[in-house]
Amino acid sequence: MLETLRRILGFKKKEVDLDSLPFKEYLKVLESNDDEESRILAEEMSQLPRRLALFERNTTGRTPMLSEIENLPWKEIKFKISLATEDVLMQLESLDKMLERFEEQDAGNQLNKLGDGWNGVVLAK
Amino acid sequence: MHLSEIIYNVSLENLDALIEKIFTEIPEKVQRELFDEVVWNVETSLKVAAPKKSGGLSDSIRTDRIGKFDAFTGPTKKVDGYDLGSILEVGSKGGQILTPRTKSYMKFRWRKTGATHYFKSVTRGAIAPRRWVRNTVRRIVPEIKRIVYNRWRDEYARNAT
Repeated sequence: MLETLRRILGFKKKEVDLDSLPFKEYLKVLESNDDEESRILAEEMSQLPRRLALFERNTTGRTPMLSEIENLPWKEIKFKISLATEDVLMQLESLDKMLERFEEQDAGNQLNKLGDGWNGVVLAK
Repeated sequence: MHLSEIIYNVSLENLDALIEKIFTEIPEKVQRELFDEVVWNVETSLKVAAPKKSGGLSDSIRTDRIGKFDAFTGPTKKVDGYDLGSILEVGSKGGQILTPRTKSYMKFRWRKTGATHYFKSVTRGAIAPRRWVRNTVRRIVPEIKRIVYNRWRDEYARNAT
């Protein structure tokens, strides 16, 4: 993956910090991988900005533009995901898989700690 | 319950490929007007369909742009931190014991008899699912398609003459 990234960004031997990449660049790296799993993952992750925008609308009342979210570094997106409630997580069924894949165990643990139901509302199943 | 069930994402991508294609064939200035018209239609339809008591839910429905031709439309009203729109959309099984926050008793007036009753706690009843967003979206999607198609046809006819 790093080789692909270096090729895209024109780096030679310099180390690339994936976490600091803007989300859209990070997505390009994923998309450029040939394997099927990366392609599926990239497709799922392309929906992340839309879901985060919806989440922020509901929690802060301010709705960010998609382009604004897409330009955030990947590490900031991860942080936002860790703050998101079950509502966002339910829509991202493969999130656990995604986090495992990138060995983000800490973020995964944080996600698991989020309680039952969003806002504690008892809703009919 | 997903938030996306009560927040409608107004985007041409949510319609079919043909509508998306003919939208791209419309001049950009007209596209903007057309998208504004679509958003207005969605917002108005949701406001009309929103269950009303004081009108708070209906008043809270707003549209936020997230892209050039991309927007979220839906309610923002919360009651004690809960999304009122979601509760009314999917209903609630009820059963929670409610107790007064400050006073020892809760006072209720029985409408039929006019008698006053005091309770230390009450059990909240079930709330029926209204499905007001789902039904509205199902109804307006064909309307949106028609609006886009008609505008495209008008533009096509205008350019042909």
